[in-house]
Formats: sequence, C-alpha cells, structure tokens
Amino acid sequence: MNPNFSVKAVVSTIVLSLLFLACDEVIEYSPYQNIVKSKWKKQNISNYNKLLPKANEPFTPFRIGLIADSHTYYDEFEKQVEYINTRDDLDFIIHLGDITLSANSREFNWYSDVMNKIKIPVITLIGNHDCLGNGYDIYSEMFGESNFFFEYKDVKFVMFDDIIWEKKVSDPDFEWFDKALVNDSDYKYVLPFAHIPPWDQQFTVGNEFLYNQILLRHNLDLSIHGHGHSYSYSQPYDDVHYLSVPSPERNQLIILDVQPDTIKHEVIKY
Amino acid sequence: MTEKKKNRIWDVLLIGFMMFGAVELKAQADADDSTWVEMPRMLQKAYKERIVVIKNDTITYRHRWFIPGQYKLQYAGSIGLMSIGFGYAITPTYQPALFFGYLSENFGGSKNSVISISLKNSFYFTKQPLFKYFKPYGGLSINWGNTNNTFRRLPDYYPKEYYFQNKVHFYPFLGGELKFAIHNRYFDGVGVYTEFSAMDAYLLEAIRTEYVKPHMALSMAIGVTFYLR
Repeated sequence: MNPNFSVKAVVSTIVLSLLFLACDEVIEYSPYQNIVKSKWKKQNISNYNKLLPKANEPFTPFRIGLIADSHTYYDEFEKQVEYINTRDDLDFIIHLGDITLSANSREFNWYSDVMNKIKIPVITLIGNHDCLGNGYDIYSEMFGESNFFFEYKDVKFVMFDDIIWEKKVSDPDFEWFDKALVNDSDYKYVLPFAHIPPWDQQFTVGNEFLYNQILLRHNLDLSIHGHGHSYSYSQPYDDVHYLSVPSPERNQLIILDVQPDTIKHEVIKY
Repeated sequence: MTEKKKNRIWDVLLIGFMMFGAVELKAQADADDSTWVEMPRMLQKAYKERIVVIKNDTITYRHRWFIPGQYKLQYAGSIGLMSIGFGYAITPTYQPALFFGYLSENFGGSKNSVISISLKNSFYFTKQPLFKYFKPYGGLSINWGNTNNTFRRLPDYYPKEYYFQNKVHFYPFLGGELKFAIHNRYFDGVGVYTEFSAMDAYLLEAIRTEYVKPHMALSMAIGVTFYLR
C-alpha cells in the first residue's frame, strides 16, 4: 500500500464527510427521531410571547387568519404564506393541525421552516397525522402542550387536542375542555378550536353528542376545525355554528373578524 | 408495560445481541486454532467436520457459510446513532448485510428511543477496486423501525387503507468504500465507507414538490468494515 495515497484518501474522506456534516439535515439517526432544534422548541409559547404586550390589552376589534391541513402540500403552503405576507390587517395566524403526512422528523422541520416565513406569529394545533410514530412527542417538544388556551385582547382561545385513534385513547380529554371553556375572566368571547370536527368517524355517537353539549353548556356559538380539507360553515346540530378551514391546495384563506358585537368570517380566494 | 420498562427490555436485547456477535467472532477465531470446543453448541453442530468420499478421494470440510465475513460499525444513516452490521459476500458484487441500530435519549439525544433493523442489499459496481482502494456501490435497504405508534397492519378501528404502513421503509443508496489490506490474526481487510440514502417517503416529496429539493431527502452514513480472513 502506498502510504502517501492512503493518508490522502483518508484525509479527503474525512474532509468530505465534515463538509456534509455542515448541512445539518443530512445526518439523521432515524426518521422517527425526536430531536428538535433549539430554535424550534416550544414555538407556540415563543410565538405567543411575540403577541405580548398587545395580547393583554382590553378588547378592540381584530382579525386573524386561519389555515389547516398543510401536510406535505409544501408548494401550496408556500403560496399561502406568500399571500398572508401581502396582508397587513392580520394580528396572528392559527394553524388547525395536520402539519405532517406521516409525522416523520423532517416533515416537522419542513413545516417549521415554511411556517416561520410568515411575518406574524403562528399558533399551531395538533392534528391526527401528527400523532403517528413519535409525532405526539415531537409536537410537544416543538410547540408545547397539545391542550392549551391563551388570551388575546379579552378573547379566550381554547385549543383542544381531540385526536382519538392515533393517540390510542377512547375519548378526548373532555374534562379539560369543559374546564378550559369556562369564561373565568369576563372574556368578550371564548373560542374553541380543535382539529377534528365532532361528526368525524373518530368520534363515537356519545363523543359527538358530548362535544356539542359542552359548547351549549357554555353558551358558545362557534367552533372551529380543520381535518376536512375544504371550507364549510354549518349548524349540523341546530345551535352551534361549525367552521371548517380548508387546506392550502384550495388557495383560500379564512379571515376571522372579531367585532365587538359579532364574529364574522371571510373566505378569500387568492 | 411502561415505556421505561419496554426501553430497558430493548436495551437488554440489544446488549445481548452484541455479546452474541462477540462470542461468534471469538468462536471463529478459536476455530482457526482448532480449539472450537468452546463454541456455542449450536455453532459446534453446524461447524463440525463433514466427510465426503468421491471415488478415491476423501474430502473433509466444515461449513462456514453462516459465519458473517464482514463486521460493520456505522454512524447515522437513519438506522440509529450507531448500528452494528453483519455482512456476507454472496458474490463479489452482491454483498448484503444485516444491521441493528439504536437511538435513545442518552444515545443520540432523541427523546424517544428507536430500534432499527436494516437489510442493506449492496451491489459493488466493479469487481476490482478503482485506484487500487476505492469500491463504489449502491443498492436498496429495507429498514424496520420499532418505536411508538409504528405499525405494519393498521389497528382494527381504522377504516380500510386510512394510513399506509409506517414501520418498513425502503431506502435506495449510493456509497463508496476505501478498502485496505491489513495483517491481523482474524481480519485481512478494513474498509472505511460513506454512503447516502434516501427514505422512500422523503424521496417522494423530493419528486412531487418543488420545496423539497433532492438533497433534502438524503441521509449520510459513515462506517467501518472489518473483513474476516
């Protein structure tokens, strides 16, 4: 063996390897790995913090954008992000879940990468696809708790994790939901958000009934969901209005317009 | 069973397997010294002398096809922080290897641990190394991932074909190895390799979308191979 050649070969192999190590994603220990980059940890909390101190101000009318089910529609999602960035009337965005297709680790990274191109803060709910593999734990690392609520200008936003099959549970945590919906601080509105609407096949007849019943108990008029991939606005159980948010491939953006006496919504085709 | 207990069982199984590998290696070494009595009984049986008489010739032989000729240690490559592999040179070009990889919070920094089993089907492009040492190769890996909520068959409560299975994934790969001859009692060669693989799901997104560029689907592995005499 020519010692000079082998030394050269080994050195160039190491240098090449280090070069590739520089682009961080190329080293992957497993597609199921739960390793979240520090800049992307607990983003729901860091993004909410960006809304402060405005979030603590007394109520004034505001508008937010609603998106959902971006899965791996990255090109359509980027187009949506581009459109959102042309508007300056929105305070923040809520993504109603299903940010991945199979909850593989890079899908979470790719979502965070595109989502962070939005100039205003984004709050991300969990979806059923995000619970496959180690998705539930990756979501918790990347965004925070899956059941949470926050206030913004005297409106209480309740984000409910109602995933059943993928989490291998028989019922969502309705006790938490019921407590979270209590208007405990003279909020102007309490708004529930959940990925799966109650009429979906994941809900048993009992769960479907209970979901609507809890909203009635708290005198709520509007419940907002993803999962269906298309826009709808209806009263399937007579009283409460259910708003379904479309996925990015529909080229639509839902604007929620929170007024002093009513909450309106607009469907913008871009 | 709690998650911790499950993890511990996997740890024990993994360590057990590594020890088995070591015993096997030692058994092979001992066999060369004709002191193969110390081998595990199962191997003794398989490795015992067999005699065949063809016309006037008596041929004595021992089976050794079951003893892997290649021992690999790999970093990354989507099958754990580290993985150990056992390879066979079935032909000069087709040389498959079976890998066992591990990833956990203390071993790779993933909050969830993953056990991977991978069948790496490598095909060498040239019979003789290029530039004396370089052997390019490529092929297809079949990787099994064992962690939370992976499944081959959907649990009963899902409607038919609600999800595609997420336990087994295919990874086409390309790589290269620098192989050097060494003078050792047990090994006559050592190789250093680097390879790039792409998971089927990532590859699909790289083809289907503009956002995912081809390089974003790649996963790199670095490893060493020891070739048994």
